[in-house]
Amino acid sequence: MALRTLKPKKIDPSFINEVKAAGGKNIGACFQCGTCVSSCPAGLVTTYKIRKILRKTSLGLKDDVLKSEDIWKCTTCLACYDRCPRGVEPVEVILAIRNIAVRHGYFPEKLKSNLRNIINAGQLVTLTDDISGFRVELGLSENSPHMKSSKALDEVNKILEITGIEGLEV
Amino acid sequence: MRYSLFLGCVAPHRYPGIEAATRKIFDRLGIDLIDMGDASCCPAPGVFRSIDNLTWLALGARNITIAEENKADILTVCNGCFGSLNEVNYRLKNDVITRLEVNDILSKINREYKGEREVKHVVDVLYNDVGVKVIKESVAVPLEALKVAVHYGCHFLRPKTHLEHNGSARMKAFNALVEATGATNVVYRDKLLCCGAGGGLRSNDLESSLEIAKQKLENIRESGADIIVNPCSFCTFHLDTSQPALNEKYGETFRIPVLHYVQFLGLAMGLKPYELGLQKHLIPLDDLLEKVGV
Ligand code: SF4
Ligand code: SF4
Repeated sequence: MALRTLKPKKIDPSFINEVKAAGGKNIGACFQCGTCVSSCPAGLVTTYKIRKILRKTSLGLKDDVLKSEDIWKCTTCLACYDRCPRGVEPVEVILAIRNIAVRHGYFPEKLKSNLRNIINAGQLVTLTDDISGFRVELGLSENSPHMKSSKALDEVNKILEITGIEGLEV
Repeated sequence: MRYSLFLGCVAPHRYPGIEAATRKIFDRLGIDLIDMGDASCCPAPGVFRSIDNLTWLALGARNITIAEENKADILTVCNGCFGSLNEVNYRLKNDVITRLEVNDILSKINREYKGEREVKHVVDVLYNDVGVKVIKESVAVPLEALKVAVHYGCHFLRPKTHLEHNGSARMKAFNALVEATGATNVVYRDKLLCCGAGGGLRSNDLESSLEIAKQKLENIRESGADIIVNPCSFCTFHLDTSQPALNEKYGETFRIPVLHYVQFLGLAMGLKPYELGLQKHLIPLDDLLEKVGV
C-alpha cells in the first residue's frame, strides 16, 4: 500500500485531548498491537477497526473520525477492554468519540429516536398493545411496573435538561 | 431476603414471560421482590453512554437512589441493566469528583446518591445468596434430556475491573445453575462471542447485528444443542428474533429455542410453559417440551 501524506489543514492536534477529557483517558498508551481488533465482534462483520480509529484520533484527524460510520459499529462487548495489554480501554475511547460526535451534530437517526423514547416515556423500548394484552394474560400489570408516576418522567426530563441533552433529539 | 426488582425495558415490553418467571421463581424461593415504581430505563449502556456519559451516570444514579429508599439491593434480569447500573454504582462509589457532579444534578430533583446499595445480577443472587443446593432442591422436573448451549453475554462477564468476581468465576456460577436443573452443558466454538445486539448496533445497523448473531448461532447449531440458555433479556430478544430474520434473509434454517435462565429454572421447578410466556417466543419450544415430558 502506498503511503499517503496527511494534509496539515485536516489535522487538529487538540482532538486527542478532547477525547481524553470525554472519557478516553488512556488512548496515549496504545502501541497499535491490534489485540483489540482481533477480539472485536463488530470488526468481524464490518469495516470498523478500533485500532485504526485510535490511530486516527492520535493523529488529530478529527473530522474524519467524527464523520465516520464506523464509530457506531461497536457493540460495547468490552472484549477489547479486558484484553488490551496496555490498559487503553479502547471501548471507553469509542464512547468518548461518540459523545463528541453527537455534540457536533453527527447523531444517528435511530439513536435520536431512542432518545425520544426516553423523553416521552422514560423507557427505551416502549409498550405495544399486543404485549400489554399478553402481560395481562400472564397475570402481570397491563403496563411495566416502572415509570408509574408523572413525577418520575418529570425527573428524567429535568436531568436531560440540566445536561443539555434535551433538544438534541430534533 | 429482599431485593429491589429492576426489570428494565426489554423484559416487561418484549418478553414479559421473563418478568412472570422472575416473580414466580422468587415467590417459590420465599424471597421478596419490591417493585421500583419510579425507575426509568437503566439507561441502556450502549445507546445512552454513546449519547452522553454524564446523562447516563445521572439517570443510572437516579434509579439507584430508588433502591436506597427501599433499603434493598437491586436485582436485575438483563445484562444491559446490570452493566449500566453496576458500572454507575462502581464509578460513583470510587470517584468522588464524579459523585459530586452527579449529586449536584440529582439535588435539582431532590435526590441524593449515597452509595449504600449493591447492584446484583439475578445469577449472582441465585448462586451466592440462594445457593446451588437450594436451587437443586427446588427442581421438580429434571431437564436431563436437554443439551444446553450456554450464552453468558458480555456485560455479565466484563469488565473485569468492575466486577467482584472475575469472568471465569462468573462462568462457573452460571454453568452450575444451568447444570443444577439436570441439563447437560455443551461445548461450542467461541462461546464468549457477543450476541451482536449491544452498543446501539441493533438500533443503528440491524444488518450487522444480525451478522454477528449468525456467527454465534452457526457455532451453536454445530454443537447439536437443543436450546440456548442465557441470563439476559436483551440477548434473549436478539437471539430469538434474529433466527426468523436470518432464515428469511439467507434461506437459513435456524430453529434453536432461546430461554432466559429464569424461564428455564421455572420449567425445572414445574411451572407451566404458558405461565412462563413461552408461547410468544418466535422459535417454538414444542419439540423441546415434549422431550422433557412437559
Ligand atoms: S489492544 Fe490496546 S494497545 Fe493494542 S492496538 Fe488495541 S488499544 Fe492499542
Ligand atoms: S467493545 Fe466495541 S470495540 Fe471493543 S471489542 Fe467489543 S465491539 Fe469491538
